Amino acid sequence: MIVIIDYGMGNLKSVENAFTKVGYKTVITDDLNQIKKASALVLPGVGAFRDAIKSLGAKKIDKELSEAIRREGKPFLGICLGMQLLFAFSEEGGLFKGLNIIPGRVKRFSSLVKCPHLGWNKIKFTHNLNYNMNPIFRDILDESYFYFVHSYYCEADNQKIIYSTTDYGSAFPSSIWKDNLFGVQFHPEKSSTSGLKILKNFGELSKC
Amino acid sequence: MLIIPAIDIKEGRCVRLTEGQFEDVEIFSDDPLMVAVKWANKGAMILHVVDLDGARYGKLTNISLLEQIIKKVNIPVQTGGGIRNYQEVKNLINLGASRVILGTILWKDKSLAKRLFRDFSEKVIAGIDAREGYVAIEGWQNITSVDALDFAKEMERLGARRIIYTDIKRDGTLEGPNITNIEKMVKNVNIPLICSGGITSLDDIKKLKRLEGLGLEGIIIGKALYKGNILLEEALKLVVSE
Repeated sequence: MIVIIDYGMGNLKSVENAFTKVGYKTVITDDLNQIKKASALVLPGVGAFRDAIKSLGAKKIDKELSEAIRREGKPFLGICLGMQLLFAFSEEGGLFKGLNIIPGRVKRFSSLVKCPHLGWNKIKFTHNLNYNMNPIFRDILDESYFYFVHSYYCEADNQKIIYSTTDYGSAFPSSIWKDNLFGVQFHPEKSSTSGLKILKNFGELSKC
Repeated sequence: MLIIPAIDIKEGRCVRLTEGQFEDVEIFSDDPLMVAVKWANKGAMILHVVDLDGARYGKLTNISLLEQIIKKVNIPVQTGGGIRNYQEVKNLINLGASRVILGTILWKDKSLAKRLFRDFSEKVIAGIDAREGYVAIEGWQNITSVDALDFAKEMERLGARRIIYTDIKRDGTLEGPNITNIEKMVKNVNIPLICSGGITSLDDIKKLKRLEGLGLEGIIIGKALYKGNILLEEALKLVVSE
């Protein structure tokens, strides 16, 4: 069962409906037992980093997530803020500690571009064809368009985890991948067919 | 989230209708160009310009005025009303329209709709106007028996990148938006949605802002801006994200 983690931030219903559309049942919950039992985890998110990390801490979900991702190797998908939360720090509204699962930080776009970065934009894969294929991007073409809404972006210390970049003023990571951990800065649940394909691919991992 | 001022043009003037009735017209300015400049100067990030004569008669009518607006303001302009074929969409994009809103044409010719979405991608928007939950076409004069939500899903399947959902019964009424219907729509489509119809107060905007995370990208405001119920500056302040 795919669990969508409910921590009071966001786009849960749209994510759930999108999974339903591609044939996967999900449970929206903040219950630690259910999170423990999940075969895959999704951390959506819209809103402020500070509030999000506070809420994850208050519900003790933060520790459980680190455990599930690092030790148990459970498939995990972070969407938008849900991906940013995985990093060590965020500069949004001050300097705040994140889940610290990925070394790096979350930064604001330069003042030269309009914020938020809102709309459809294309992703460019960073890998060459010999590279091991990211399973959730199976059947997704390079330069596909996805839907973005965000003012902050991730800066990863380890460039190898960046699976695609997107240009907005300069190139930023639009998706990351390390083993069982997947992060997308765009909203697959609002990205039409390509987005749904990604959710479907992720759903397949939950069956393994 | 985007606050999108609407400029509806009828016979060269900036007007507002009530519930889409062409008889129920209120004139707000004889100079739509000045109105466009005003909204842009107040900080609007995008404008929504509708050719009401075009929508009514199925033929672009106020095109030179539209061109002047596009040339004059340095913000994106989305436009619609009376666009009934491929070439017209192309012409409007070449003219500088950032996005072209289509309605009737999508309803009438699904294979053309598919081709338009494919060729122009997010340069076209599926405009879904609903009365009592059913799709209205041809300048809202005809109500079909097609459910608006089903139609939205169909548009998404055909490749639409964005939807504008208008509740005709609320449009121009200053009665507040039908939040239940907007929420239902935004939850059930997998592309961004812009809503319009009935937005009257800052409180309405606050309520709609809660749907942002579900995929509500913007709010079109018409009469409330012209009547002064909402000040654009205040509305913009409400939606600015950190």
